[in-house]
Amino acid sequence: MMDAAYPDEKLMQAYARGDLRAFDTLYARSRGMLYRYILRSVADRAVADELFQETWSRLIAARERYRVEAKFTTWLLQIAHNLVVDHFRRGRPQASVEETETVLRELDAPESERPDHALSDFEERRRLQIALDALPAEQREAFVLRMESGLGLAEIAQLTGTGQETVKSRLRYAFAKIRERLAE
Amino acid sequence: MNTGNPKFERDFEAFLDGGDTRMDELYRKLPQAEPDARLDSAVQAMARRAVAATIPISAARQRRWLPVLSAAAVVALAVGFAFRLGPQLWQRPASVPPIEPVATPAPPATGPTPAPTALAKPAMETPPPSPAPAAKAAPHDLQKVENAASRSAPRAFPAPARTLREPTPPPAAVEAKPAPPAPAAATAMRAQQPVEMESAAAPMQTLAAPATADRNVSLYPEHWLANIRLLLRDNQRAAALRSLDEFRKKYPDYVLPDDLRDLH
Repeated sequence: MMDAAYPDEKLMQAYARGDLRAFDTLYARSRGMLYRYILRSVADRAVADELFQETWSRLIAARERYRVEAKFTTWLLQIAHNLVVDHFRRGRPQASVEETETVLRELDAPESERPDHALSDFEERRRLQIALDALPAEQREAFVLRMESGLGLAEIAQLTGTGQETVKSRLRYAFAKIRERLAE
Repeated sequence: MNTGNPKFERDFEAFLDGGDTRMDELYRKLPQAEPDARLDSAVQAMARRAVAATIPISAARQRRWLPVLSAAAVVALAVGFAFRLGPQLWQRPASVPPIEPVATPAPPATGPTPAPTALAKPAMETPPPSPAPAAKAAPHDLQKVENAASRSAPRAFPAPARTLREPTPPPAAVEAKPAPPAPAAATAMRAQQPVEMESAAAPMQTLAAPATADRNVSLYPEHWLANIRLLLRDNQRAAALRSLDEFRKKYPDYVLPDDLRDLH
């Protein structure tokens, strides 16, 4: 495993030159964030699996064209974003709130979170999840990108191909609706 | 969208700046979904396959180009040697003859003096009767190169003037000289001072001999023509015309220079 301080961009360049250890490090760093972004966008684990794999496939195929000027995380998420958009354009039905909740409940929860003493937290998380799923796709995407990857307005705007003000507006709506749901 | 609620605006700005710790904490408490091991293996295998597929392609490309590059390098090397050594090989057969004449007694001063001539004109002489094996092969090759040069690549060979001005007396000729008589010493000096050599009278007289014109056959066309000019300059017109006729026979397509074209 390579040094944790090694920048993603350098790792990507190293992988483009054939360094598989660089890829392993990069993958380990990005896999969770990417997967959650996709899963929260499509709300279907099978689809998320498919799009997750396809995202990496496209990154691998384009590795020699990668330029260090592009922030790696933004590039990776942009590939995923395009796939998510394509997925919805193909007309696949988006998972309902109930389906998403079922999926999320199937995911492994930390052992410490036993129902008897984490009920309050669970309820809060459930409400947050329902609020997220109820958001329009564009608002949810902006919110997830902000929370999951720590991207700024400019980066989200670049990634989604929209203006910064549009992104800010989407985030404002998302923030307001989630707070409203949590306060119920 | 502006709620007009100052508290909301403050919280929203904090959210944008990453300062909304409550929202952040709550979000982190959501199930941290991750790809399963099967998916990880699939992606990592994909990455390995891609790299493995790239390396053999590069290696194959290198292997495919290796013979071509090698052949090109050999050709370049051969051409380089030919250009570099060509003039020396060219002159070697012509410069060998001085050895024998120098070793033999000089003929009487009344007749043509072949020995000094041979030494004085190393680049213009014909090969000796029994030169070294390399020297034997040289005239034949020389002829081929000469013909090719006159047809297609005249600039690939040294210009006549340069050759005349830079005679390279073979070390063997110099070393073979016994206590040189006066003509031989003069010849050696001429060899080192080519400009003087061209203006020397004795060599010109020798070139004027009928047999000498035939010897020009083995020279570069440019060298041959230079010899013809020398004959003219030394008032050996008949010999010059004979030589020019020989030249025309051998090089019927050669475009003669203005000063020799109308010479009959």
